[in-house]
Amino acid sequence: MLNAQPTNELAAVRDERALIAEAAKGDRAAARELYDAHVERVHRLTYRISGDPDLAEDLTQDVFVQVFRRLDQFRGESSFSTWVHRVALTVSLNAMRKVKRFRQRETSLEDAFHHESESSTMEPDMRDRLKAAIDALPEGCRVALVMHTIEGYSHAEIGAALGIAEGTSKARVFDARARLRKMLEPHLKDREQT
Amino acid sequence: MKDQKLDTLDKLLDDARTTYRVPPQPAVDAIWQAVEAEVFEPRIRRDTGLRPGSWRVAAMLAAASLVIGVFAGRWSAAPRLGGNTPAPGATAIAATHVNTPNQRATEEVLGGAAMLFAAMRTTDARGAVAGQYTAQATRLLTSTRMLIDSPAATDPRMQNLLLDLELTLAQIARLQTSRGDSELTLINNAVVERDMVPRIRSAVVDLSAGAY
Repeated sequence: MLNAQPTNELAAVRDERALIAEAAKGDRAAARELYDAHVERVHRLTYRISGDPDLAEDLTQDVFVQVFRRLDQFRGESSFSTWVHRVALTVSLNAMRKVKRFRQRETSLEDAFHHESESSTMEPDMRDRLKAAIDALPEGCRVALVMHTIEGYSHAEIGAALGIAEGTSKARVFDARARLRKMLEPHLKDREQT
Repeated sequence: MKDQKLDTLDKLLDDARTTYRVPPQPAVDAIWQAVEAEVFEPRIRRDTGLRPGSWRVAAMLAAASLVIGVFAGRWSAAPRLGGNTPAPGATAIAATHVNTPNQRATEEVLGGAAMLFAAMRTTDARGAVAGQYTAQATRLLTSTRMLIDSPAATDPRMQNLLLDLELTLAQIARLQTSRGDSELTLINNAVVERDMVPRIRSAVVDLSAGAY
């Protein structure tokens, strides 16, 4: 998922390496090409993690500033895309830890469910419940779940981007699903009965 | 039963692909402009050969006023001959406090912010100049956020100032030339309404006097 899938993948990788070399020398056109190739996916990821359009754009900006400043440190051991996503995750998760203090945006599960008795006549909105439950997951589980189940990254890609083993990524997604199932259990039962 | 439950959860998660925090279309060009200004700033400066006009003059004026503030603070904090001379231990504590890395970093950020605000009030925000504002604001924003998380923000007054500064710098960092001068005017008004420059000046004086 992280790697582009052109018809001639090898040529594309070679082209990308050339662009990276040019951009590292200060070629803005090359940098723009690299930016254009990755900006949408980076933005998707920063938005999925932050949930805030303005913050996601700020984070995307920070990601590419760091990427271009540290381009000479890119050794080509992983694909450029994986490296960019690793930077994106680091920037986003660090920022979210700081932002969390200023915001009450992160809805606690308790808050998310406590309206139930007040609005018992309303059809419970499972979509909102799922959203609140995902937001309430521990960070490691949430990121792995969002990347794998929602954004479609493979476990190998998540492992490379997060600097964890592929198996750890699998375990985190499994754990996330188990937690979601537990949190949503009463509502899932209702849904199955209807 | 369990499989059924899994199916329901799977269906919900499938649905989440298109409903959970669906990203809006990013402002690709605006983000690039900011990235370019920050990463390639020295190149932009060299290429455009900006005159040492109002931006630099304003910055120098602001820097001068801050230097005066720092000296005023240090002079007022210095022990006076024949006055109430503090105990030797107290002097040593004050002296070490004045030289902490946190204090120096805070002074630098506050000084940089004051210069930026002064420059923004005296120039318009077009092209490379706007790029310089956003680049400078982004740099200061990063430092400000680090200060907020550091012991420098232990004092509630300093914390409030840094939080206001963070908000203002974030607005400047997102300044877009395509919206004309109206956005710049709004930011300048916010700087005035929040009393940013006077608060920065007095904070710098207090810092140099060891009040934080």
